[in-house]
Amino acid sequence: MPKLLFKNVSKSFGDTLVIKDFSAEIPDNEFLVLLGPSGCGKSTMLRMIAGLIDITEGEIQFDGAIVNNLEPKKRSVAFVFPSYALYPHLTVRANIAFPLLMDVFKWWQHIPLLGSLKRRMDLRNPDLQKKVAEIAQTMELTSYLDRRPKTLSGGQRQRVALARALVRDPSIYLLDEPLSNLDAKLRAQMRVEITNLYHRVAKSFVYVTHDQVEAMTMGTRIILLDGGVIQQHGTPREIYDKPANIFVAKFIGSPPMNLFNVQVNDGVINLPSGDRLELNGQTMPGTPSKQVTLGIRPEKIKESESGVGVPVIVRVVERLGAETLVAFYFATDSDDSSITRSASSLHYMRIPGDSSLKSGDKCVINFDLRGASWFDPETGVRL
Amino acid sequence: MKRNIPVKILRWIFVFLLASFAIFPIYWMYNTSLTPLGGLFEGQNLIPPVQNSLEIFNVFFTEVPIWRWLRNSAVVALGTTISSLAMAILAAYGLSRFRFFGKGILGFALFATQMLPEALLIVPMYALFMGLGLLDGYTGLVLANTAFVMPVAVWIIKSAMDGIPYEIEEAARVDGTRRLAMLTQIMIPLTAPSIAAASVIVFFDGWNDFLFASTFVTSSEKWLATVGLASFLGEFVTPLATVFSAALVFTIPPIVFFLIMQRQIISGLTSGSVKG
Repeated sequence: MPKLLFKNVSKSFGDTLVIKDFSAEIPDNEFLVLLGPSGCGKSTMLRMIAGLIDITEGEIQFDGAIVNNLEPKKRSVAFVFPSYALYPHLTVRANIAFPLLMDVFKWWQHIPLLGSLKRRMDLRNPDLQKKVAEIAQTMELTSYLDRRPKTLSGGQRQRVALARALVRDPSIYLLDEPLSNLDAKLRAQMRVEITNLYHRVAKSFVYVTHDQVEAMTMGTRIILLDGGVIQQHGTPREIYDKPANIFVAKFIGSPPMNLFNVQVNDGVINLPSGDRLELNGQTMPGTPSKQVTLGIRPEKIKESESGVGVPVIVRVVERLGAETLVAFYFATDSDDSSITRSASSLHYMRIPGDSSLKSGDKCVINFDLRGASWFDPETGVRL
Repeated sequence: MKRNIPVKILRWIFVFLLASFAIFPIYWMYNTSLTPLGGLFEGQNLIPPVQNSLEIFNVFFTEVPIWRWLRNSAVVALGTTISSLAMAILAAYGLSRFRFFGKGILGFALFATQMLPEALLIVPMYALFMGLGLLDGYTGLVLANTAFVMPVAVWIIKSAMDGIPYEIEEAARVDGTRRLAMLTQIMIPLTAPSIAAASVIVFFDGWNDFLFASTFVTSSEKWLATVGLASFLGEFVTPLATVFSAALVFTIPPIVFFLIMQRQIISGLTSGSVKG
């Protein structure tokens, strides 16, 4: 259960810098999620932790010991791959037991036939059998132990991959988008299983994903990456409520945070559509009368009951059952009549599921500015 | 179900015709080996005179050292197979998995060996083997055959290794597998069908070698079966029945070798994707 420390870690492939000056400290037993869009360097980071690729610059420490030059096995990590990476020529039992078989591997096992004979003998070892049986039972794989991976479903294969990770009792579990090959229902189920596993083994987990739902639901701590640079490091709540910059605000949340370029004068916010909002006692950081970007989560926008507020026109209504997502644009927008208005220029609100709003309706909305985020429009940084 | 019966019959006829094309030359060898020399030029019967068969094969096995020739051929063919595969597997793994300077040129150079006819190199090889004392022995033959057939095996096995996801190797590394164990425990079992296919090609090459065997080996007791067969061809008379009897016996070991390897090849074809 080591403390993970990254000190100015950089990684280049040729001239391409993939990770830039990555520094972070992760306490024991955290479920750290490395989150970011495709190509942001999160899988590279995970492979560097595992020792599968070298670090160009900087240090990675496990409990104060530098592990930069340690072989993967000596780091006491387990790795779960997106495609599970099971050994197709071995049974589920041998797949799960493989790390233990490698511990007792002898040089003469390189000789054909002798190697497979020794493996069969090792698999009959009572201690090994007991351990494999226990883990198979935990992962509900007991009835599949003598089958080959190709005969298993995606979810079962994923469980075999997790069982293989468990058998070595590693200090850190590294999971690289382990749910990406599963369908939506199975993904939700496996999400719960991995979270259960985390609580049961009480070890450090590092989980790579581009799916913010996985990150928010499973992680106790999130590092959001873009272009190999840490955008924000914090708990899921912190990242959701107080995004460090516009990138984070747009990346986290579905639909993302609404962003408006506004000007604030004498406690009044001037929206780009010409509408005005009262600050109502809320304070705005930064210099007054300067242009700022206001960020408001969709659930902080409500349909006005009194009819007083900002008039908008509904473009798309998505009914999700318990709640409804409404995409809208300002009624006073000069170019809002265009049917070809892009989705990115629409704003969103999250309202109760029983709303009767439909596409084309006009309505009036109110903004709840408590917890609103303010960003510098030039640098994108939170004010 | 009834409609399927004519289709099945047609399918069987088609398979029978195809099989006949492959089997007929072997049958005709058998037929010729049992027909007396005079009878060959008077038109052969489709069914050979059975009463001669025992006598002819008895003469053949007692008067011709076919067993020794076959043993010599087997030594060279198996030697070529083992040495070629041992080197080809290591070379294929290196070419498939490592990045090093000159990798592309090396790959091309392996291919280039196939562009040169063996006959072109036989004189320099003779001179080289004379210097190394490798003439008139099996080691020289194994080396010469290996040099020419190994690149083919390298490319067959390399293509198979290219198809194995890197992630499986990475998983094995995390599980504590060293580089050589990675090869013997993961890569070789996963590419076994291709290795079996390569072994058939390599074995046949060693078994069928005539050029090197007739040039580098001079002692008649070290003749391979190919050279022994050719020795029947006289200036004035060629005992065709004996030649074909020997040829028939000569074809059996490679067929047996292929049948052993065939199971491995077929199981590979049906095992599906290697992706976990």
